[in-house]
Amino acid sequence: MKRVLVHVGAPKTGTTFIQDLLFQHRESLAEQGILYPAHRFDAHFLAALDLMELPWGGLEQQAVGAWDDLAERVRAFDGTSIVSHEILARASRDQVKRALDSFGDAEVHVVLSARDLVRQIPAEWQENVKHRRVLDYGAFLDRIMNPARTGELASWFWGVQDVPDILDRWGSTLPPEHVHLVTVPPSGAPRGLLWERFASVFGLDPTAYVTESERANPSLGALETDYLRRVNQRVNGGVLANEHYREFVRELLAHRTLSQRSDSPRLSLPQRARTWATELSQEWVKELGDRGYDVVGSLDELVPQPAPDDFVDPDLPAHDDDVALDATVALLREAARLRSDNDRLWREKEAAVRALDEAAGPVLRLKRRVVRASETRPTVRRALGVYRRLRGR
Amino acid sequence: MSYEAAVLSWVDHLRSGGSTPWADFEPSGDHAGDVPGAAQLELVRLLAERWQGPGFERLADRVLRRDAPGRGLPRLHVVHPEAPRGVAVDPADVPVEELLRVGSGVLADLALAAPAVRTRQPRERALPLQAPSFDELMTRAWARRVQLGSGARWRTFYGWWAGRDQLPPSVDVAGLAQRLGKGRRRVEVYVGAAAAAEAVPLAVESVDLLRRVNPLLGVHRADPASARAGAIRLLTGGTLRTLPTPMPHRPWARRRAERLAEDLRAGGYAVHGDLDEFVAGVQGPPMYREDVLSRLVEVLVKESST
Repeated sequence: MKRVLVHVGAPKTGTTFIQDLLFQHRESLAEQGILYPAHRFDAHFLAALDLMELPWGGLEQQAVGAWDDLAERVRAFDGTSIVSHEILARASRDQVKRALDSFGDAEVHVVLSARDLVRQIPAEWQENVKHRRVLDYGAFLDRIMNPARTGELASWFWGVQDVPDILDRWGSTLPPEHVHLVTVPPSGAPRGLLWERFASVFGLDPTAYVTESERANPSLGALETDYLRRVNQRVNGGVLANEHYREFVRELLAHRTLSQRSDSPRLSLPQRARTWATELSQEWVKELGDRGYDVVGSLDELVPQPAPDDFVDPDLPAHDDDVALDATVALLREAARLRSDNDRLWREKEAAVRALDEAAGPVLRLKRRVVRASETRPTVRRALGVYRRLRGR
Repeated sequence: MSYEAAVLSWVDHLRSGGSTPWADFEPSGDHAGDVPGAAQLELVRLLAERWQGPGFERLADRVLRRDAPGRGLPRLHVVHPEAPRGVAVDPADVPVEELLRVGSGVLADLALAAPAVRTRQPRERALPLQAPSFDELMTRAWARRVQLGSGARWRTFYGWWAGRDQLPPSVDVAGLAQRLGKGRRRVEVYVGAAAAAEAVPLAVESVDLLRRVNPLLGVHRADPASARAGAIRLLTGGTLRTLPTPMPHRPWARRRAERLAEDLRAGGYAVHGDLDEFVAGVQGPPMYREDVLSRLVEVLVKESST
């Protein structure tokens, strides 16, 4: 029977881990009659960009026609196909209709994984900061909590985090038993429980796969996130190009250095935001409970757990010198490594030039010497220019 | 009356060329079908206000069926006691940015549907050197980049150069003069009022529309140059005016303009006109979203009427 499971998010609910696992095991999955139609890790991201007409820093040009290609592979497969990307949570009703229609006569199931807001909101601010934003935490919370939800930031956040709304957009034309809500277990739950829940929805044996993903999206502490935010203030506006920001700030500083500081205070919500998030979650749970979806886990897990008031405000000027020192050391080590690489490449280039010179005849050697001399001596440069014009070059 | 029937009654009114705002509209009759969002409906109403004669349905349907592309607010519902879950607003209060988002999608559709046109990329001016003011050169440089496919806002474009403390090549008049001076005895530079006006046939509002459309063309075509040329054809009209320098970059702009003037003085070139005018410039009014929307409505009506 043709069946397609569309996992539409939400971000920060283990989606990267699931996508990595499905991609790594796509061949063995195919042997069991399960298709993960991806020729590259981000294939479903590209398909989502195409479906949703989302420009993404030029990447969208690699996405032209990607959704139709994906849908064609799903239609042609006689078994269960899995599609997964978290930005699909943001799709409009028209885009959802186009997506569901594109699967032809396959039986469609929608899967949404969700985590409580007390963990999701700080995680979103952290993601924002890792993408060059400079808004401080207080201002970020004000925007998220504004009931109008206007502005790019709030509209994007709620587009991918408002669980009842996402499931209404994706699931309103499906039988409720084809809509699967996977809840992320609370902190401290047994490791592997979330994977077991996903596996049960996807029809996989949870013990049959190695679940150590190489791709991870490690979290930062409160002070580390604010440190990065202040770095952003100084490197935005053209100082650091995006590709350099990705390499040195996001990867080196955030992921490989600052996320290792696991003893520093974690980011949480101040009491006013925690109360508001708890009330909103309780409304969601009531609404979702009435809809009859297949809940994998428990709706109660979407309501924030009571916690001690251990909020550390990243906006207060209690900056930790160690954060800056660790970052500086990481950058110095990287600078030293790059310098060594550069010196080695320079030596290799010089050796290659010498080898070429030795292999060449006397005329070619003379020509090379003239060209090298023209780089530093204007008279030679002019003479060479005249020679090249005469030769019509 | 149900939400669906009430809004679809308004849809009928708008499709027939009516432009009564939602707040003043009296719905009637029995209707069923897909209900468009508030942004689509309000944009159709604005287009109906400008439209003359019959045949409006085709353009109206194009807009009503157009999902807003890219990033922005989720689909807004029309305010009504039975409005579905989500945000409901009076269509008159839909943010201009959302109307522009829907309209840019329609404009992109028109450019993509147009027959392929030969692309001609704007060229850097070589001789003579005409530099009315630093600000005018920056505005022209932005317009040129957008015509080459950039999706950068005016403010972002300015910030990119100011952040690097560099000048776009076409703004670096001293650098151009130096390159032209090689092998020549005399370089003529015309500045301030002495510089000849260069009429770029795109209003700044059109350039702003084009920068919104550019990324959408890239979503649909791996090589969007031809569709971009189609979009430029749709938007051509008016002339480029000088935009004011974004506030945070004014000290940088002043410093770089003064340094350019010094370099031109020191370079020994034949400078015609007043270099102080080049530095000070005459900045036009800022570009408002409402004016961009007005230009969008004008372009869509004109294109759909022909």
